[in-house]
Amino acid sequence: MDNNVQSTPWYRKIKISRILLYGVLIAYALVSVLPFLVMLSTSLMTLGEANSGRFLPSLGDDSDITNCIVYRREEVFNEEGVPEIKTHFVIDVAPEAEQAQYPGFRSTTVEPDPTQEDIFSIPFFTNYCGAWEGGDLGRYMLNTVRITAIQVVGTVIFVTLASYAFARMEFVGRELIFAILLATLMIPAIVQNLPNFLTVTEIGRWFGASGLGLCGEKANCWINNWPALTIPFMATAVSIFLLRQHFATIPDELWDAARMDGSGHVRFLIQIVLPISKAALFVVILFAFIAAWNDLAWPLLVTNGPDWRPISVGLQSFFDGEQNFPNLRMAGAMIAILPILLLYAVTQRTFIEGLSQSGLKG
Amino acid sequence: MATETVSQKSQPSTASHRLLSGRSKRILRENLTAYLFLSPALLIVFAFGIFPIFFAGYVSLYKWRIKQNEYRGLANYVTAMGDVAYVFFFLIAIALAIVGILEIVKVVRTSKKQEMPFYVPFLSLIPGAIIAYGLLEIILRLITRFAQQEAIDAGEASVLGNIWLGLVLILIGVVLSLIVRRLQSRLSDNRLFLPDFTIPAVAIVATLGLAVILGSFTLEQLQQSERYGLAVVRIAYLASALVLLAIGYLIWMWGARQDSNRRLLLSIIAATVFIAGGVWLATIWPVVSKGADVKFYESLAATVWYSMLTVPVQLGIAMALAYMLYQPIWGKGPLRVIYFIPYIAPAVATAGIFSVLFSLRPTSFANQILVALGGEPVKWLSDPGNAVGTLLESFGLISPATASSVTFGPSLALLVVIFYNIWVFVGYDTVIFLAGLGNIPNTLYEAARIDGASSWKLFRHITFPLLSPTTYFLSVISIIGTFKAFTHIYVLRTPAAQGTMDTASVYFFVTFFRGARFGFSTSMAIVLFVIILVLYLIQNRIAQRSVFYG
Repeated sequence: MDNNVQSTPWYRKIKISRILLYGVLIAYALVSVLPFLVMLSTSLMTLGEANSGRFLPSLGDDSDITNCIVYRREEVFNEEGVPEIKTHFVIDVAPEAEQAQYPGFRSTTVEPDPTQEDIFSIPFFTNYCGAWEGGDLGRYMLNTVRITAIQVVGTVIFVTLASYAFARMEFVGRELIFAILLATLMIPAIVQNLPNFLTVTEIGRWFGASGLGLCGEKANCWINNWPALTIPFMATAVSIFLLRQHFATIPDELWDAARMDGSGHVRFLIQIVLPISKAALFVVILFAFIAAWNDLAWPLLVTNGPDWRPISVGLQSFFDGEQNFPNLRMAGAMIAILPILLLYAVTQRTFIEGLSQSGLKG
Repeated sequence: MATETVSQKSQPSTASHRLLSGRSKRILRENLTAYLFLSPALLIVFAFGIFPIFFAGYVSLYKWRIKQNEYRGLANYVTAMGDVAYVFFFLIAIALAIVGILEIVKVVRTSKKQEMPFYVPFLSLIPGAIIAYGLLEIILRLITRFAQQEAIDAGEASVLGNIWLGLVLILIGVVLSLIVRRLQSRLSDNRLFLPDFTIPAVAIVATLGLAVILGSFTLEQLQQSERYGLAVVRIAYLASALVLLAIGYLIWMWGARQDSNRRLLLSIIAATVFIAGGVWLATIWPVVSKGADVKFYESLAATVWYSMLTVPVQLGIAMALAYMLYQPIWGKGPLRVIYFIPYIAPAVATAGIFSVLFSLRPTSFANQILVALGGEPVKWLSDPGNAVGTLLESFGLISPATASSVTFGPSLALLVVIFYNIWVFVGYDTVIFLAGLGNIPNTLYEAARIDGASSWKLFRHITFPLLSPTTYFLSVISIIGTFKAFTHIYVLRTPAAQGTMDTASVYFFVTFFRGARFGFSTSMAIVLFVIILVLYLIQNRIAQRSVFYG
């Protein structure tokens, strides 16, 4: 493709058009990253700074604007009477202008309290530690990793088997079943989510205390537990499609040679197909990870406590709770985005190619 | 599935008609292994991908608030849509009937091509009906298995269908289909290429059966309705408008096949009929949907605005960017990586960023830009007012009174969601367009250049038409994506926006999750599903004409 345009370099005759080209491309690149830059900058601000509308944080040397969030830990008793450490935020010196402008703005003035831990005064630590602890983001991230791990195991087994059958086996109804599989992509998730919630509740009850009793005392084995979060997504049409496309490219000679040596489908799959399909499998695993990190509606339905809640739900409820603290919210967003960005930086090639083959997000 | 396994097993390559010859045995084993490999994935896809649609249909017929309550028939649909619900179901029944008849036509055509007596393929209808009925028994049983015991005890729900009966029927159907097949091949002159009619037969019986059941069910519900007379009048109104639109379409299609003089005349007539139908529809719609859930229609309208304003802008920007990136320039790779970042970042987090950027504070990022451009700060995500009116007012172009009289278009809050969506998906679309551009052969450009085509002409006459498969794919994905959109809207929504930014998916979720009105919200979800299906079919139809697959 480079050839083709080099042979007639229309832009070389008119330099301005080239500048324009770069100008537009770079301008859009700026649009793409600007929100992230604002996030980074706001996450380093004090509340006063964040609300003042400045673009860069003072990082503590602007004495006019004081840090007015106090990050406080308290011991409270929950419903079952067990003490729990709760972290919450109060405004120390509430800017009066803010209060006048926005009635209802939370503006508790903190009285000197010996039990209060007023930990950090530098915005960086206040915001990031505040978001980390206040939103319990560490726990939710760990949950997400756990969910992804379970889902990946299931996906690799189920999807590999199914894709292999679609790609390398002759069976009746192959086209029909594959067409039905692809048709499920057209179904809006909301139509599936609502009844699936009832299905999952019912299945969970079968396994629960009043049924088979597979999960001890719990009445429901699936809700608020990993099966509800992972099993429905262990075989998705996208991943089957992707892997099937890859398996179909494996030359028939390999299969003939393997069969000559007396290996059946299972051995061929495990010893030959899987090792040469690592890249495709990696894409499928990436998908599972992204989906677990992104999905909100389904985890909202099937989790009601922090035990298995993924980061999406955790972050959403953190955003909900800290409406009036843009700096904290930005820090929380930063914490949630960072792992994905790192993953993206390391694997961007696979990422872009894999996703451009599939056309779907979470 | 087992049905097809065996039925085609008997497809003999030669005159040998024994059921299990050595070759057949091998094929059977291959089939069994394949289904063994497939079964876990298929089980999951069926249980959580396909079954929920049928189950949603069942739930939507009940009052279901956490627990299953009494049977309500179409009442949930009527609550959501008004009397339009009856029309809606009649239309689905008619559509199903048309699909079934088209299938029959296809079968008849095949039989003509194969030069066999016309009744030969129709023998398959007997096993087809038995198999379809068996499948129905199993699906009904599975659906009602999830009905709640209390509801069953109270006589408000009943367990229908029988899995064993279903399985036995399917087995009988399969055996019958084998026998019918042998009979058919004996009746037909051309034995070698005789296709298997069992699967089409099952499809025909199922669609026609469903059409009849749905039609009679709707009729029965309509007769039981308290406002029977009123509803009938409304349905007649709506039907007249739809018939007008259909006539307009038919004239248009007819005109397209005529020579140019007549075509012009017919197009004018078609346009007139269309406009008349549209105006009539717009006039009677408020009457027909009286008593419906206003928020349901508002959420659909929000979805349509969202979709209409997002998809073209997003695809336009992406196509332009991709075309520019495709030139040999420095930094192509890094730019692509940067464009992709918004897409890759977790949606909850990026939506969280936008909710801060577009907050109602006068000092928020978006407001500062607005002020820099010479406007007054607005409330963005917390503003339920019309976007165009509010923004024009912000720049002092119209008075507040005029601004509040503008009602056509999305709310300002929804506009932010549209911005967000464009920002996220442009990068993805650009990457796909780049892949599409790579598939266009260079020789075409070279030839055109020799003929002296300008670069705009190259784009207009080569790139744009040859890119149409990619454009089509992306527009399907994007439109369906906007209808599915949930996560970012749920994060961005504010109480102050008064639900003006709730698209269909979000509104249904909220009625389900917060309102716990399971029956009501699944009924609306089914309506959305049908709308998406119709949109997809229309898009498909348009694409057949204007997408060039080279």
